[in-house]
Amino acid sequence: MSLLGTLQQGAVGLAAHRSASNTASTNLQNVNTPGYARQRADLVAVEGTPYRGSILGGGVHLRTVQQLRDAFIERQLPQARSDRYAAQSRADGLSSLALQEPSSPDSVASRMAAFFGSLRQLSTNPSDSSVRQAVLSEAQRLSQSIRRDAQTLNDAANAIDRRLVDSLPRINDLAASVVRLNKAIREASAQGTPNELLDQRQRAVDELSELTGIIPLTTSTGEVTLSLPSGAALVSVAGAARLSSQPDPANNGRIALVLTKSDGNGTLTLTRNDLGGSLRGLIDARELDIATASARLDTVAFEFANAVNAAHAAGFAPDGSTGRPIFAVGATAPGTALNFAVDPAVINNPAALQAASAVDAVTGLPTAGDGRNTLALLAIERSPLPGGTPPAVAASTLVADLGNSIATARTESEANGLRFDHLTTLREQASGVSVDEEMVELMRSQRAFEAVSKVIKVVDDMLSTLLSLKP
Amino acid sequence: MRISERQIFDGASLRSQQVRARVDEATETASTGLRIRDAADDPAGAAFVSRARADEIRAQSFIDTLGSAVDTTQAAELALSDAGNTLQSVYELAIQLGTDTVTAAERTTMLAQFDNLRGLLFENVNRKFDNRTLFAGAREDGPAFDPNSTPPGAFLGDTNLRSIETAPGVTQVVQHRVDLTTNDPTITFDDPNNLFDSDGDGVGDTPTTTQVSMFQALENLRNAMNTNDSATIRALVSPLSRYIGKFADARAEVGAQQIALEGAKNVATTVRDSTNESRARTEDADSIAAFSELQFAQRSLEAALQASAKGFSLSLLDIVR
Repeated sequence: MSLLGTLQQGAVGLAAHRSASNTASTNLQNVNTPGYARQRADLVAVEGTPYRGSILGGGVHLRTVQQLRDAFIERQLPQARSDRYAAQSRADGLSSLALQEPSSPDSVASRMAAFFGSLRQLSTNPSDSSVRQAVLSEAQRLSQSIRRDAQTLNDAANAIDRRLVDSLPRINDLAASVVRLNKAIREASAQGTPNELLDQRQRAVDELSELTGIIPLTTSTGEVTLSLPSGAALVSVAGAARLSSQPDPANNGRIALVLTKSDGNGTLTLTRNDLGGSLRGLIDARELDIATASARLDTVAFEFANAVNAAHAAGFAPDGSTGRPIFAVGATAPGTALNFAVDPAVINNPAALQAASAVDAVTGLPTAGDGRNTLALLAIERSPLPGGTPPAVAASTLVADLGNSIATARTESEANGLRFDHLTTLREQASGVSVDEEMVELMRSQRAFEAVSKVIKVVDDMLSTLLSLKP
Repeated sequence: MRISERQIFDGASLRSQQVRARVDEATETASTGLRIRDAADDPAGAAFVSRARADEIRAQSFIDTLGSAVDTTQAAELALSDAGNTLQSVYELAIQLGTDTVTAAERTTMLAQFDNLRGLLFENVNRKFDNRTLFAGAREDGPAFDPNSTPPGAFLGDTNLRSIETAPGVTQVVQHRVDLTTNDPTITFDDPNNLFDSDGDGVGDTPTTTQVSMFQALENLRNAMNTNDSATIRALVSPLSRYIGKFADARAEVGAQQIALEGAKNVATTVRDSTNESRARTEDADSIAAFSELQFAQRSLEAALQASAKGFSLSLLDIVR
């Protein structure tokens, strides 16, 4: 090997160590960049060359700068991320549903007890108009309480609908950006590993996983395709599908999500089982928790009103009239709670309350002190509704069951959060930047650079010595 | 194990957030005194608390209802007592006027006193409480007995006695049938002016016995006083005495009703108080435990922040200059 060759090797070595130094520097500069995976300069010894029966080393050169990612952890993260954000969104979607303090005198159960209490008072003094008015006031308070709880549930469902709609532009943007990055990565790969583009794509995939629970799959050409949990393609090699929303008439006009395929031909209305991530969590909160609670509140209100109305209708008002309901409800349970109200014919007319159980055959009027029909009304308080439990118990159980749903969602969110945090920690251990480590790397590169510089100087000295020899 | 920079800072952030959440929770518990603030805090406890609150309201409504029923029965008991006393005065007057030593003029003079007593008796049995006639059954908006009917004392009420719920599913009558008190089919009057022939000798020798109501007895007494008929007056003493006993019995019945109502009210009060106590035990936070937890959480936060600060300060950057 000639001295000039050694000098050349030194130059290549300097470049290699400068690259290592540059890599450490890049790592340090990206220490706080979300989604950044640390890089490592891959230095390899240059193959030696035979020289008089031996093989002389060829120095060092930079083979590549590679990202350090643990494929095993990366494969587990999308599902963990999807589960984590599904549970968290479900808990967030339910967080506004603290209907009332359980012991509030304004809860539905308490208001039912107060309503029956006013009827109990009426049973002792059915001719007193102030007592009659008190019954109507309690009936109105109970109606307000039921409507308020129904409205709270409805508002929560509306808020979820808004969040679903608001998240769609971001999802579509991310899907489109993955398609763009796939193309850019494919093109850039001819010159080496485009680590920054890979990081950008990974960030987009992570966020899509958080939002939709997509399952990423890397093709042999380095592109990433993304499928929803049910298998529907969100990003394919051909392009990105689009998510949109539309009111679902079969679900009280609630927002349904629709996926339009990447080629624009064909749509798929997505159900909760098609989705993951926060979309799944929000739809679960709306369809499983809120819809169930709303339906049960409707049922309790409907059955309660019908029981009260039937008993009341059998009685007689002081003017002998009969057959009037106390509460105005529809023919079926759905929507009852949201529109629960005292019947307009009764609301401002205490004399319309039918407390008597009979009328005089001659006058057609009940006697003033006949309050026996209130006892029939009071029997409803302790009798099971068609649903199987007395009204106040049904109302209490509803609140508790909703509380149970919220608590379960929180617990699941915490458990999934712990699993996700653990995997994120493992990812950080593999791919995160350590300042100490990079400082060491930087100093090591610097030392190596200095050493190679020294080699060049020595070779240069040797060349000078040779050049100064006089023939 | 590699520890990245992000792990150091994110870990510190996460830990301090967790401890801060714990401080926040402890602060809320200590400041509100409530262990269950919404149903998600303890769903089973919340269901119990909600039901207990409804039970308390129900028990309070029983207490209120029973309280007014007790007031009504007290008024009824007082009215019956007054009626019994008034009838006792009439009875004493009849004994006095039944003796042969009393002259016709004296009997006529005593008529005014008798009329006063009879009027008082009508007032007693027609007494109102809370603007409702006590003894007219469900016809509480008018008098129970008509002082101007012929014969006087016709019952104007009905037999629909008011019942109230004294406990869930348990009802109790809270009125009294004074029409039965004033008209007992077993109380009779031996009319000395209407004799029948008991031995078949063609001459009436035994007074005819007929059922007599209290008001009919009073009417007979008045007529006898007017006609100076001492025998009839004497014959009326016995039925009057029986009716005094009837009023005493009625008082006892109403008293028993009142005791039962008082008992039910006490039970409702006990239910309310014990339910309240159970609810408080479930819902309320133990203040000592709450403040201890708050203190502990604050210490934990301090420790977490100090530990994080120390972790941040140790880096190769601080040593290699």
